[in-house]
Amino acid sequence: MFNQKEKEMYRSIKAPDDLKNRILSSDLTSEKNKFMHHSILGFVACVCLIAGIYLFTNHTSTTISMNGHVISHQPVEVTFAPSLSRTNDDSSLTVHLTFQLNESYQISCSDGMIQPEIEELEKGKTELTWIIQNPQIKPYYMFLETDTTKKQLKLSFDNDKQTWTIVQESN
Amino acid sequence: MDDQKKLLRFDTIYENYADMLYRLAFSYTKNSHDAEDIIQEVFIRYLKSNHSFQSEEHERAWLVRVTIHRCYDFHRSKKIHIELQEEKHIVTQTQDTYLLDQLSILPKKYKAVIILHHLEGYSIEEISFMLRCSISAVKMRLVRGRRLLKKEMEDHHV
Repeated sequence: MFNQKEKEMYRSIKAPDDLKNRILSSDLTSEKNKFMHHSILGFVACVCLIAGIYLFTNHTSTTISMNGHVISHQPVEVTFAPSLSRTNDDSSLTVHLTFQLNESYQISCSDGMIQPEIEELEKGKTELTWIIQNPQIKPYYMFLETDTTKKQLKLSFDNDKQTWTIVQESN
Repeated sequence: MDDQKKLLRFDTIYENYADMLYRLAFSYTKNSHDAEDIIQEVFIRYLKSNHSFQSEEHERAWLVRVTIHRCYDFHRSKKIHIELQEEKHIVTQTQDTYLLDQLSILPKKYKAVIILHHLEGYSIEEISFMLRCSISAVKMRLVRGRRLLKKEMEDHHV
């Protein structure tokens, strides 16, 4: 098919001498890039984890409780509250609350009064009493606000259980 | 295989097959830069791959197949036309473009078997193993490739 001269000519074609080094350096570079890529991914994962923990901690470190019962999105029965059937002019609804907060909140309520009379709850633990004179069958609200967060407690009468309940609502 | 062993293996494989693969790529591209790119890519792929080859024949077959496929890709992506400037590049290496000009008229699947058999000296069985096609298919490609080359040579001399 091809004569000897042609074969020799073909076989004289050689890969450049530096090609091997280029291959190895390319491979090393890609390994470095891979290392960098993995490092960046690792860093991002750490940041996400820390942010997650921070957010989770912040979210869970704020607790509002009443007589040791944490008030969440499930209604909690208000103990020591007067039965509505026995409500008379002298009756009042008294709710003792304990706040464990991770930041300061402005506090206010739709009805009744807060004892001690404060407008701001400091970061940390605070105990207060919400007193509603002559409660009616309607919901009462307590609002806690920061620049970025809003919480509200809803105090209402449960006709089925014939008792007052308190629940935390999200805005 | 740990990195050290892999690099030692690469040394051996490179020494044994780099020139052959480069010539193969060069026959398709007719351009040293493109041939270098292809070989570089093939060996980087080899280094990164986690293939555990049963034998050196398997390793060689893998390298040949990957090189040929990369050459096909090159043709598909560039849709190249042989340029005079590139041919000059061959002149500096081979002192004669005639052989590669002849090969360039061959369809790509004939070219591989003609080069591997007539210029690199591999047997039909070895080529059949490398290209994962039957022995009869290799023989058929050789016959048809030769016929085309013969016709080209005759036309050239006329």
